[in-house]
Amino acid sequence: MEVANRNYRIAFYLNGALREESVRPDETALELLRERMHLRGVKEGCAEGDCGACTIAIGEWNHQHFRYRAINSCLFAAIQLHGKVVITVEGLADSGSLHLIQQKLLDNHAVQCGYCTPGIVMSMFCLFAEIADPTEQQIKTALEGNLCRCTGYITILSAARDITHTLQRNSPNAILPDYCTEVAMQLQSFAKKIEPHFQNSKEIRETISYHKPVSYSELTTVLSSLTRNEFRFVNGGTDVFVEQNVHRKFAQHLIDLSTIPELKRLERVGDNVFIGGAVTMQELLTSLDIRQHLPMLCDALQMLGSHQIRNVATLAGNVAHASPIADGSVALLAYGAIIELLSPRGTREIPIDDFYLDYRKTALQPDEVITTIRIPVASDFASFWKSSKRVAVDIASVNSAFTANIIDGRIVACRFAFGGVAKTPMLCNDLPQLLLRRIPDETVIRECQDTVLRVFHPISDVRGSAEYRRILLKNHIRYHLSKLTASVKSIGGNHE
Amino acid sequence: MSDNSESNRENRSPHHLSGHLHLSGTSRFVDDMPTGTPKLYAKLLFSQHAHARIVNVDVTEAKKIVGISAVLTHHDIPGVNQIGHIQPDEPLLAASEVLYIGQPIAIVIAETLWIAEQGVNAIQIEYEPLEPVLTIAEAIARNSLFVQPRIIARGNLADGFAEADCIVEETLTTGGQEHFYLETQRCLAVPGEDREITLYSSTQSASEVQEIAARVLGLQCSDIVVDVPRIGGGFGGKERSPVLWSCLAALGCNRTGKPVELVLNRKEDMIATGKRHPFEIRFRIGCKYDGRITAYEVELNANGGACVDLSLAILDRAMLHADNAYFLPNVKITGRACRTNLPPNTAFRGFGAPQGIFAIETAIERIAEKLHLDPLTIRLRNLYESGQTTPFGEIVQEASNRALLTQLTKDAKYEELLADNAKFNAEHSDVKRGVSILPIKFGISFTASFLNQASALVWIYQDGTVSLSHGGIEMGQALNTKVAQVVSAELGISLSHIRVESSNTKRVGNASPTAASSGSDLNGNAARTAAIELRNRLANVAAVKYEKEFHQSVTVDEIVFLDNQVYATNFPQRVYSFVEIIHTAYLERVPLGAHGYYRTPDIFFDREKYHGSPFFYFVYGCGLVHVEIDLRNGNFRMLDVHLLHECGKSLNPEIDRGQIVGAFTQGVGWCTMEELPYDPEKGHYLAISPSTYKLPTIQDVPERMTVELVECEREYASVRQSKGIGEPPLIYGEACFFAIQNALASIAKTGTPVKLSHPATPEAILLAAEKLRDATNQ
Repeated sequence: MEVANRNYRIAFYLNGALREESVRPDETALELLRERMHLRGVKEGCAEGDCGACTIAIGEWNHQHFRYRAINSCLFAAIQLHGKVVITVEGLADSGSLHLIQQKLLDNHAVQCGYCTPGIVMSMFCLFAEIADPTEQQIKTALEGNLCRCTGYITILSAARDITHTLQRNSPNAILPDYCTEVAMQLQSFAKKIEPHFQNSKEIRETISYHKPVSYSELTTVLSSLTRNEFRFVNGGTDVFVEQNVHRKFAQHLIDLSTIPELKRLERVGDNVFIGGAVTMQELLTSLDIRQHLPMLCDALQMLGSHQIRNVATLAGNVAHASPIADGSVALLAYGAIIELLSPRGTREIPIDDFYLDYRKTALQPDEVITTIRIPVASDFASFWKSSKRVAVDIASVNSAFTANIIDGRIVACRFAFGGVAKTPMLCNDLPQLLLRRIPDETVIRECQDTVLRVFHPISDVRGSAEYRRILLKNHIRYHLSKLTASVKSIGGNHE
Repeated sequence: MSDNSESNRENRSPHHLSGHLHLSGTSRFVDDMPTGTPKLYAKLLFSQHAHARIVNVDVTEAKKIVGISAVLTHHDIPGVNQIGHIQPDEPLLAASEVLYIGQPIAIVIAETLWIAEQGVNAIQIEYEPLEPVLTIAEAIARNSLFVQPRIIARGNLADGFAEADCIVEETLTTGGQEHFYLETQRCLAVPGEDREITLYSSTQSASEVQEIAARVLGLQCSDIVVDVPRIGGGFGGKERSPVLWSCLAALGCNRTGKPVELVLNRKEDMIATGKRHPFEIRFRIGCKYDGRITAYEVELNANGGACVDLSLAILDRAMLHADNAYFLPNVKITGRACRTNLPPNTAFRGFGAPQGIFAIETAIERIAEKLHLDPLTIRLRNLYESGQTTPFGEIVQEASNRALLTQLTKDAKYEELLADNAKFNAEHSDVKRGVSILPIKFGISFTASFLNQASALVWIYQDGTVSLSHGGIEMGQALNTKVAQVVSAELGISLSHIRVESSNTKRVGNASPTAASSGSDLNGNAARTAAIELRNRLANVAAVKYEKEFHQSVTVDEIVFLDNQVYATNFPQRVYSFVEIIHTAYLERVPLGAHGYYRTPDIFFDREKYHGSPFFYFVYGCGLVHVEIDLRNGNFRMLDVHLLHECGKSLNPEIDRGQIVGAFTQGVGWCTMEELPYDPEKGHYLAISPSTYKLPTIQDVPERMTVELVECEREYASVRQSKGIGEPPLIYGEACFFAIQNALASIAKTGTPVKLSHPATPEAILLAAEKLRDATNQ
């Protein structure tokens, strides 16, 4: 007995050749490439975006530039490959001779068991496709999402330096395979559409459709047509596919927000920065507006997930996911951001202060989408800090963000937000009263520490004991206020 | 060190033979092997209880699902439902009782993984929960031990303590560690003709998988072929555990007659497989004011989990390394392996030695605090000299730690570091620096002496190329490369003319696990024996050829095999190509295949008396780690790492360097961030994914790292004078822990013990700092 499932015919360039495949709505790029297209170099190591063994390169046009992004194929919808250039480890070696990256990894003895190797190669490919002479830190950032249990990474770093030296001597074109120019050109006039069709299968799946609206009006039409609570929004997929792969929770319908142009808005207008719901963290980190006007947001996002995650995950997704420890949410609380929402019933906006209601519960209605996050550019001082077991690619035990306005060395307004110490990311509204019109000396710091310990009652869990979190809370207070004091001194210097 | 020019280094360190395949994504792992007919997929029903009676298992609904080929429980096992080896305590599928969370109860075989999963969900199971034993303390209280406590003793402890000027005692724990091989446990079982089943298994022990699969299926060993092209990391986690998963795949294949693939996903692997043994340790140490140790008493208690697995051998190695590099005149080492309701803990790189060594190094740190001495002074004061005897009676030969420590202290400018740290720590309140320097001594050989044997099979084809099979498993350590290098050197042919075959029980039977850092010693020697036999035969052929063609009398000793050529030292006028000699040998009907066999000589160990000479030789080395800790968030970074490792004559220096850095990094992970909390009542692990279980990333590498191989002629070494490399350098990671502790000492009152719990996570560091501050303020 078989059932007819809705599948989608997609087309994409795989290692230089146009391929058409029929995919399930809940299928990941990893499943498609490894299991069905037999690209066995694409490995599954964890299925939740924490090891990078499944890393592939996705190429597409972005503001007149053709760019490659490293992504975790385990957390990427197969349907989203449509209309893109996909490069896997199999697509780099040219008729038997290794690609420069592969050769240098070999020469530097950076391969041991080989299981993480394809992912390492692809992360490096995307790094060098973008930057021919990366700094040591850029190399580490590009590879922080690739776990290797054998090498201890030293040889991988040597290989990366070796590649950099070679690229500086020769043409940087040594990175892109020959077919890249051709397929990038072809992609400019790509006209194929995703075609839904029915396919018989013995599998009875829970996810039955995938919607890819391309405008607000299409989005609201889709939302109106679907029964409430049976769908999930997917953008970068970094939450949806963890739910699927690990927790085995499937939504009946998936609504893809990644191709609605309005949601890609990223600009500063007057005293506000507008961040569209589909803007990725990496786009924010490379935006001049953000780096210049909201550097604290960069500090928060730079530490969030891995490079592969930041390449697809959105700030709006981080906010809506409502983790009590979300780095983005904590930063936005301190900034006093406004969340703009859209539903078939119209638009509305909520201050982020009122957005989080309870553990994993927000003010979002089921059919509401975060269209824009509006951040006022108003603070003189902003600082973010995160404490986690591991420095990179870890979820915080406690994180915090602090913004303040200073006049004549005294705080005239401030916001202090914390994560990991309550059911939601939360502002501590008792702190501003203590800080207003004062200079944060030792007495003030102590008062603030006492207050924050009175307000928050952190619990013990796998990311840390309550006792540890209480110590961290105190230390976070001291960290931010000391930094403010130092900064006020330097601001004062400027005034003189 | 010998000539270190680039060309020399390159020649001595050929690339990993599979490197180009891994890099281009074309290497085959076990589940990439072709199956002929389409494969079926297996999913398991795992126990949800740490300890329970199984009241009922109902598979009726599961069997009704379209696409399911079989739903199997213990009733469906044709042979014996028992995969234990030294004790019959491990069923393949739980029958009436479950002993740990993650223990398999049923296996569902279906056309797709999804359908198999639906099948597992449709199985109805009823448990009657029983009280689990989870901790070492509970197990000891209930006498839940695999065997009675084991003891190694020497001298007179009472006299030793009476002689001591200073005595310290303490109880401490070391944490477990998840292997996190990137390739999870898996097996692909493919049916052949006449009952034969080929198991492509991700295992370090092909022969053990073969033997036990035959047992559970009621077949003969000759019916089961285990083939291992390579595995995606093992670290000990695939020495014993794959028996279970492979036998389950074999059962599925046997019952359906179809190829069956069983791949644990990461979560399943982390829930159900055993890990490095957590230890609870109690020690009492006595020493003179000058730091000379007069007495050491230690209890090493290991949490073995639900089945004996390799726990007894691991306990042995922990006890045999309780001295680390130090001569202990009066000593008593007691070991207990506790049976609990955690998944069966198992081999992990180091195999108990890191825990045993951690105990005495902690003891030395405490003594140093108490006597206001630098720990290095105490370490130097007590180092073994060649000719001294270990507590278990083995003579320590070619002890080189004193020379190594002296050199490292000089190279890494230890004294300057101490002074710089003192200055830095006086000037900084938020960040503190610390340094530690540790010697290691690690015994090479399986302590179960019979495992120290190996075979290899070498065929030379008529074009002069070679097929090489040995019993070892390639798991990333480049064993195949090293063994091929040995054959290449003996036959004087290019490495590219040698193909190392997959490890296959048909070509090499009764192979020992690839473990105990002995892979290249055992298999390299076996291959070498075969290559030498072939070379001797070919030398004869060449000698006859010189006689026939040139009437030149040449003895076999005068024949040289080099650079794919064969010539006589006393008749350089005619140089034959290797192929010419092979061709002649074939026509002359000289066999071109040879089996090589090796057993490690001169080792013996009386397990009852804990006495003997279990190790063929010792590996020595020392490591220095310099850290900076941040007292605000508890993070640390390694500023400088300097490792000095004595390796005999390295077969492949770059590969050895890779092993040292990789092992060190794992050791640092174990000592600083890898943590395995479990629910104290229900017994399930809480960190079951890489989002909660953190291992080092590229952002955690030391800012400076120097790894120096100290090469020297050694009488006590193995194949071509080399030494085993896999495990010993992991212990250098402990220097990171003690460096962190040393940094914390800067906020302690002099003489106050710095009790940092293992692993030194940011949480542990902050809690320790808090306690020290409280103590200082009082």
